[in-house]
Amino acid sequence: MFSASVIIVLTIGVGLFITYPLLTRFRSAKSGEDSRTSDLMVRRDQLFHDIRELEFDYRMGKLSEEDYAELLTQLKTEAAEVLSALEEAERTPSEKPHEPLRAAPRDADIEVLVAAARQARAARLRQGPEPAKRITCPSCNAANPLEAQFCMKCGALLAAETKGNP
Amino acid sequence: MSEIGQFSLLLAFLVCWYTVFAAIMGARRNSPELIASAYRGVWSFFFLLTIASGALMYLLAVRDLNVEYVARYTSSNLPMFYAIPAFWAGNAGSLVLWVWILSGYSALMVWRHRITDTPLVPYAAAVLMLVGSFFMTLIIFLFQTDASMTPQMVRDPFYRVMQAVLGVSGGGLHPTCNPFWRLPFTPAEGLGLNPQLQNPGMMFHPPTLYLGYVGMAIPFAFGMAALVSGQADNQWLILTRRWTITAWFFLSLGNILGGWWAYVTLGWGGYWAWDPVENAAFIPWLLATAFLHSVMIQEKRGMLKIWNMVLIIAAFGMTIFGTYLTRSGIISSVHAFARNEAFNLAFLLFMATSVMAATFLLITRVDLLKSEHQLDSLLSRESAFLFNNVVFVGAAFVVLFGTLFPLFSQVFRGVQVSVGVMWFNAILWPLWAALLILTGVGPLIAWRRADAANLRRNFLYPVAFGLLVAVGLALFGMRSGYALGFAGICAFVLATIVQEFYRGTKARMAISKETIPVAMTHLVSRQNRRYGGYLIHLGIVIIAVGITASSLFQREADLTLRRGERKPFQGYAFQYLSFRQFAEPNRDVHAATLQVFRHDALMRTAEVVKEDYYAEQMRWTKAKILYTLKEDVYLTLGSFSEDGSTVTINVKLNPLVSWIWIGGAVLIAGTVVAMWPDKREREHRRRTALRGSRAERRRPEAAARA
Repeated sequence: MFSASVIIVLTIGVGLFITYPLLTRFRSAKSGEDSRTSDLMVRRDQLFHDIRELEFDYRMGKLSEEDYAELLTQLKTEAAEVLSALEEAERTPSEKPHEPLRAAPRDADIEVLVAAARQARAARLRQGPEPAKRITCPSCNAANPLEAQFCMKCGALLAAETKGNP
Repeated sequence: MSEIGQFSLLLAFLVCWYTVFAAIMGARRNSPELIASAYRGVWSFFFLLTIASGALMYLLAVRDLNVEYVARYTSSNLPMFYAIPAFWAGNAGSLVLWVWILSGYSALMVWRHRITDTPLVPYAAAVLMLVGSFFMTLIIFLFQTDASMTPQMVRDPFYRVMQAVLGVSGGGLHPTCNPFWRLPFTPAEGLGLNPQLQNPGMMFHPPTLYLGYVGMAIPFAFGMAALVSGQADNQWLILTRRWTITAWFFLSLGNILGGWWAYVTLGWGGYWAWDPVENAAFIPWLLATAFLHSVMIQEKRGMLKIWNMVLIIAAFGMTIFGTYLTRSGIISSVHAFARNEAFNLAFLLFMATSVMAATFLLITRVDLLKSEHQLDSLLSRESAFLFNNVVFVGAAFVVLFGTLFPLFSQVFRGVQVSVGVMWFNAILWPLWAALLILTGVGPLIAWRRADAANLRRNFLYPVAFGLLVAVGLALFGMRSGYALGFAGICAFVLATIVQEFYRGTKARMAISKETIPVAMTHLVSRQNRRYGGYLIHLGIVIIAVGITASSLFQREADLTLRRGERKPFQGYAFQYLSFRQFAEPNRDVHAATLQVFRHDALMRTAEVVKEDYYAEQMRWTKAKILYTLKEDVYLTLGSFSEDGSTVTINVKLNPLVSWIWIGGAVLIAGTVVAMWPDKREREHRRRTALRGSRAERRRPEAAARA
């Protein structure tokens, strides 16, 4: 009797659990834009890591000077491409940029890269859409796109209720 | 309880197939509902197998001897500590453990990547469930006609139906690998557990090894998913990196624990005998190690893409083969199990099908795997990695050939002849030497091409140190060429590792102005994959030292002693004090007490025993080991007169064996360091989780809108 009831409960429970997404108007936790941004971020982090490691290898004497220079240029070029693609993705209004470009790379080189990318973006933002569609950061007063959840300059949380739900 | 177990298996089988289809359809149609349902299928599969495994543990714990599996591997007087591990003492339970682990890995994998938006995950889930479905089929449907039974003796409703449908004649239907099968009668006592298995190692060694075997299924599944979905860039490698190293961690741990277990319990004084089942665990380890190294080349330089696919297919194939070898008893070994033709055929078919399907996929998709670079020079890190791969795969082939040789000889000459330990050692030692040298060369040599300056800068001191050690040992009287060679190589590798840590710390101190301890810690924590890898290399070097010394310099003697007599051997002396015989609940024990002297000072009083197990009807010799860092004194009781007036003691002096276990511990620690999630990954995971929770929050709104 005990076994029979366990078996029945198991069957019904597992059946319901598996078919739940099919029976209800289930919305997946994914979206295409998000994943593109996320892929870019992974790539960016990978590149920053590679640049750092390259410099480290060079200092440890595992690379000739020409190879170092050549590989560094390659990596930096790709990093710059990824950074601008990321920026592009952030500017696309369809999906909100939940993560600012600050990835805390340690070396000065990368900092410079990021700084350059930020400046370029800031310049584009200035001539961007009208200021009415922006939200001001409560902690640093920077202007952010309406969709932003975090400040793009200082990373502070932008209060959700101030911009109202879509 | 057996009904619940049996039913969970049946339901799990259905869920498994449903998941295969839902995942493939979901990925093809890009339907989030189907994919979500498939993921839930994977979790249900794990849940149901957990219930089945729990049921089996319960049956073993209460010794329900009506269940055939329980009666065969336990007895009422078997201690509880060994009753639960009897779970994996036989074929049926081992297969359940295999799928249970597979389902656990799959559930974890799907959970981790549930919001990673790539078709790789559902396809990988489908591949994993396909693998699972094979094992489920074996467990549930494999049967034989038992002439000692009548059809009426089959009580289980599922098998009654199956018997009626298949029209079994000449006896009753008897599933071959189902641990929940109930006997038509209840035996008065179970057969008990083989005394070799009554050791704490039984708790850990088989599950660890299975965690390693089954873990290789995940990178394999992702590799196949990459081929099927056409997304054959580096993403599958990045997604599976953690899984591969986890599987490798368990394979290494399983092999080390297996060696330690053999050393402690088998009583022949060694830790590795090239037994087929040991080899079955070692071959996947070799291939997985090769894979771990060659993926670095793909990640860094976009090379070896086809090779990596081939390696992971081979490594996975070998884990299945290892399971097969272990469970089929096709080659006699200490782990021998009963042979069963249907079981063999099913396994061979599965292996053939999966390897062929994978190879076919690889061939049709080969254009996706173009190499992005050419090999620039023979003297470069890329080619060092390539050599490393060639040697690892070569070693795997040698071990495989030696393992299968008894089968070949049976086919051609009609008798099983095994090649023996000497053969393995004679063929493999140059490969081990080459691998050790590459362990030192690979991490140091320059990428792309190494010039003279680079070689001088990186290798001058290590080579000098290696030579110094070899010459020094020769001056101290070591005459064995093997020993000197290996000692020199080990010293060389050791020096490269020390030099890497030294230079790395210096470089960090120069870059970020840190103090020595801070720089050291940051060195390891910021580049944990690299420096964890060096620690693993260090562990390997220590193990190599232990293996070289203990296999070249073991000394052995049989000492026959009258009571009170004392005999010397190699600086030790052994005195026989007393003899006693007594009964434990499940065995008789014969024990002789000895005093062991080292340079005439008492080192230890030790008791060596032989045990007669009742239920299993076996006599078992237990080893007594006096561990020291320099050498182990390995004592076994050879024979004894009934009244205990004389005993023969077998003494082995095994130099540096302890270092094998120490090296193993270093290797494991290094693996943990390398597995530790680095900052980038934690960041990425945080971001993914954030995205998931935001999507969660959006869901009710979306539903309301719709």
